[in-house]
Amino acid sequence: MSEKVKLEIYRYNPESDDKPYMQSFEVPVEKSGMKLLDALNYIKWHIDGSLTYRRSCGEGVCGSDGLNINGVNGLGCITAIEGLKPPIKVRPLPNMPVTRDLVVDMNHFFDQYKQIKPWLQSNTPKPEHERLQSPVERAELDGSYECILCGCCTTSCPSWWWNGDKFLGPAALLQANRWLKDSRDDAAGERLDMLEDSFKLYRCHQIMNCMEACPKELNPTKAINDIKRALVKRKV
Amino acid sequence: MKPKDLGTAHTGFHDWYWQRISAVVLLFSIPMLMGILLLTYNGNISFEILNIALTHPISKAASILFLFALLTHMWTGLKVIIEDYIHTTAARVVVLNILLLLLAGFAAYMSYHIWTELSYTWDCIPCGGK
Amino acid sequence: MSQKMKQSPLSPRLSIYKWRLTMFASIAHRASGVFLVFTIPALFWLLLSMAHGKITYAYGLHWLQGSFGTFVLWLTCVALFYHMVNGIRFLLLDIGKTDSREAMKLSAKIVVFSTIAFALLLAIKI
Ligand code: SF4
Ligand code: SF4
Ligand code: FES
Repeated sequence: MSEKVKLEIYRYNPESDDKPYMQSFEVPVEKSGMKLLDALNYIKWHIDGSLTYRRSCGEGVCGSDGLNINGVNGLGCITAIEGLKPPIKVRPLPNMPVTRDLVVDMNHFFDQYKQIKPWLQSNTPKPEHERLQSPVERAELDGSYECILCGCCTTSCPSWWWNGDKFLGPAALLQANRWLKDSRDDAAGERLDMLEDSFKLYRCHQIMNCMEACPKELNPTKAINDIKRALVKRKV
Repeated sequence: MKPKDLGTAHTGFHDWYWQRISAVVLLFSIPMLMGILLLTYNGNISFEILNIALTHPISKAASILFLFALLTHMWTGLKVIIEDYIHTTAARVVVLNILLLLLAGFAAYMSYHIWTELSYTWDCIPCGGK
Repeated sequence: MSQKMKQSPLSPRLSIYKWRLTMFASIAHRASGVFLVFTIPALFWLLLSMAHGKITYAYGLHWLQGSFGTFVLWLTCVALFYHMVNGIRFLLLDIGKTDSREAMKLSAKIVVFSTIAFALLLAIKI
């Protein structure tokens, strides 16, 4: 008989449940290196087909399966079962409206992403081919471009919990910094104008939950400090 | 309900900036305050020395500078905390202004205290002495 | 049109989030700061009053050397030590130093454990 692992999963069905609750499951550990997503799939396919969660790529690229796993945010598909203390508590990303079970409403999160205008704004006429960057300029984007917008960082941030209506949160700010650094972008001034706000940007108090949570091992705290320094440079 | 993007207030920079400037001033001055206190506590600084040291015009000026760095740091720090945990604009306005009044009052009183060398001679200071 | 029967519940946050040392370091910065808001102005006032008059000096010293005064002094020193060391850590991040992921975690450890050491040392010395 193969070994089993216990999970406790957050359940909520808006049609039948008044309140969310935790439900226990036991899942056989079939192979070493089994990931949390495999366990969720096992439950869905063999035990309870109504369990609802998002996933797509299964390898940490798409950013769909951000979850709160034993109290820390991470991606189900790349978090190994072995490193987790059972019973493994799986909850949706914190401070989000729950649509069903582990699926949360990400609209506000992506709305905040949109607020930072995550696209290239250039004054120069469109070249015939792509806009070129030197290897050095391209390297500036390391540590930013890897972000998959999973939301693990933003939903781990206490400042965002308390003031998420205004505070843009680490994911959007990391992206804002990515466009500030892009050598092809000409809208740095307007971008900084838009960010200089005691709630949008300066709510970050370097709690560093975001950095601890990021499954791509990025550092939003540092990105936010980069923006603050850019503002100092402009003003002082 | 979806929160609307209300644009940018262009505030925040100054609070952030002055919090750090005052922090650097305090980084150098507060250890002096605590050092003098601890030495006095240990009986190493007599009244005569303390009196001469702290009523010299230069140390009075330094005390005022320290006072204002302290108040700046207290204001910026408490403001952020209030904004974090109090969520309606009305409550924020009330609490922030009460705080501002308290700090301003403290600033006025302490400036007076420093400059006029206020001392207390009642034999009943609420400290259990006697 | 939209048939939303009830508002979706908010997923749990503070109650379930695991405490990391970096988060603790940040909360402790805030807590020590709030504590110091009360004690530093009071001690500043006390010291100046003691410097201004002989009688106040005597009373002040008596209070400071009492067990409550000593305790307040000790706790203030500890809170101040923490707030200053962690403040330096934050200032370094502001100017873009020690801001790799590893350095951030390590510095949180250094700050917290050096404060514990300082608190013990001061308790013995004071
Ligand atoms: S910074 Fe990291 S945690 Fe945040 S959205 Fe991007 S990949 Fe996810
Ligand atoms: S470092 Fe800033 S953005 Fe990251 S968790 Fe802390 S407050 Fe939030
Ligand atoms: S399923 Fe795509 S990131 Fe996990």
